[in-house]
Amino acid sequence: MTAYRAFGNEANKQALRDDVRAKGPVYTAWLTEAAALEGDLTPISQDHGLHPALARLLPALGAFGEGGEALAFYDALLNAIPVGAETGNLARRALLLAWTDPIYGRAQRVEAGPVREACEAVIALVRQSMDTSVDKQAWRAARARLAQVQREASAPEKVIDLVQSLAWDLERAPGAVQDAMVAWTAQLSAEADAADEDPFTEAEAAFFKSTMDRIIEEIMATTSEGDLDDLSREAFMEDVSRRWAADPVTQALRVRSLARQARVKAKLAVWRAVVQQKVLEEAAALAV
Amino acid sequence: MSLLKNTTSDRFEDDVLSSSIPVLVDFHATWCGPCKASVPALEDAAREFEGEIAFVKVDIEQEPKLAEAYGVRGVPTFILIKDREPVERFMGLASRGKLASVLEPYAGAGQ
Repeated sequence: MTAYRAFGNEANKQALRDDVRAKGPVYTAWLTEAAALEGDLTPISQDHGLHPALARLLPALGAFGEGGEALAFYDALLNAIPVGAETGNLARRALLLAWTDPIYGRAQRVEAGPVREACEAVIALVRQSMDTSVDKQAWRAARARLAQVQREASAPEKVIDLVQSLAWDLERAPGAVQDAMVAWTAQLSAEADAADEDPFTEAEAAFFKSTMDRIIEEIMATTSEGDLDDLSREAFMEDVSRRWAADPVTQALRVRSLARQARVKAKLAVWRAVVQQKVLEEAAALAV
Repeated sequence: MSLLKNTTSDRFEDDVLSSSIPVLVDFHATWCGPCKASVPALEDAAREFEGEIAFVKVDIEQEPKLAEAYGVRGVPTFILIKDREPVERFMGLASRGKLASVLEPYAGAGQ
C-alpha cells in the first residue's frame, strides 16, 4: 500500500529523535513552508520513512507547537515505532478515534438515521483502507452520500465537516489528517467553551466583542501604516492588554475570558494526552 | 503541476463563465494567511475532481472589479460557478472536508 518504511535503520531513527530534541515541537521549526498551515513536512517522510499522514498528524498531537510538552511525546513515539514499520495505519487508527472514542468520539453525537449511516460508511472505508487499497470512486461515493444527507437532513455541520475530512485516501491526500484533527479540536474546544463554569451572558459577550473591535480600531488608527508593518505580535498584545486594563469593567471581563480560555485549554490537554497515549500503544504494537 | 489556474478579468469569460464544467473561483490576496493555508486542500481537491470541476484563483487586489461584481467582502471567498451562475459560496479556510461537502453534489454523476 505504501512505499514508506520507518527509518530504515536504528541510526536514522536516532537522528530524527535528536533532530526533534534540537528543533523543538514538530510545527514552526519544522515547516519549510511556514506560510501554509500545513507547511511542508516532506523531509520527515523522505529522509526518515514516516508516512506523510503520520508526519501531518504530529503537529496536531503536539498542540501545534504550543508549549514544549509535546517533545516528550514525540520522543516516546519515535522510540516506540519499530524500524521498518509501515506507519500510515498509525495515522488512520488515530483518526478513527475521532469517531469511535467512547468519550471524545463523534459517533455519540450523531443520532441513528441516514446521517449516521453515511458517516459509518466513511468510517468503514477508513477501516478497509488499513488492509487494502480503496479506489477513488468508493471514497467519492461515500463523500457524495454524506453531502446528500447533509442537504436533506438537519445534520450537524461541524461533524459532517470532520467526517468529510476523514473520507480521503491518505495515500493521495495525506493532508486530510490535519483537516480532520483541526475539525475535531475545534468541536471539542467549542463544547468545552459551552460547558464552562463561567459563561458570558449574551450582553457580556456582545460587550466583550465590541470592546475588542474598538481596541483594535484604536490601535490601527494610532499606528501609521509603516509602523504597523513593524509592530511585533508581543508589542501589539501589550498594547491590547494596556487598553483593556484602562477600564475596570472591561478588565474584569477580560480576566474572566482569559480564565475561561485557560480552562478550555486544560480540557483539550486532557483529550490530547488520551489520544497521545493511544497512539503510543498502537505504535508499540506495530508489526514489521 | 498545479491545477489551480490564475485568472483575470480578461480571461474570466473563457476560464469561468464559458466553462463546460463547474468552476470553483478562489478570491484571495497575497497577504492573506488563510488563503495560503487553503492551498494544499485546494490542490488535493483539484486533483480529486480533475475533469469534473475546474479551480481558478483571482487576486482581489489585481482584479478589484471582479471581486466587487461577485460581492466579495473578505478573503478567502470561494464561489462555485456553474452555467455562468454562482451556485455555492463560502468564506474562510477551505478544508478538504468543506470542499467535499460543497463540491461533491456538482461533480461527476452528481451534476
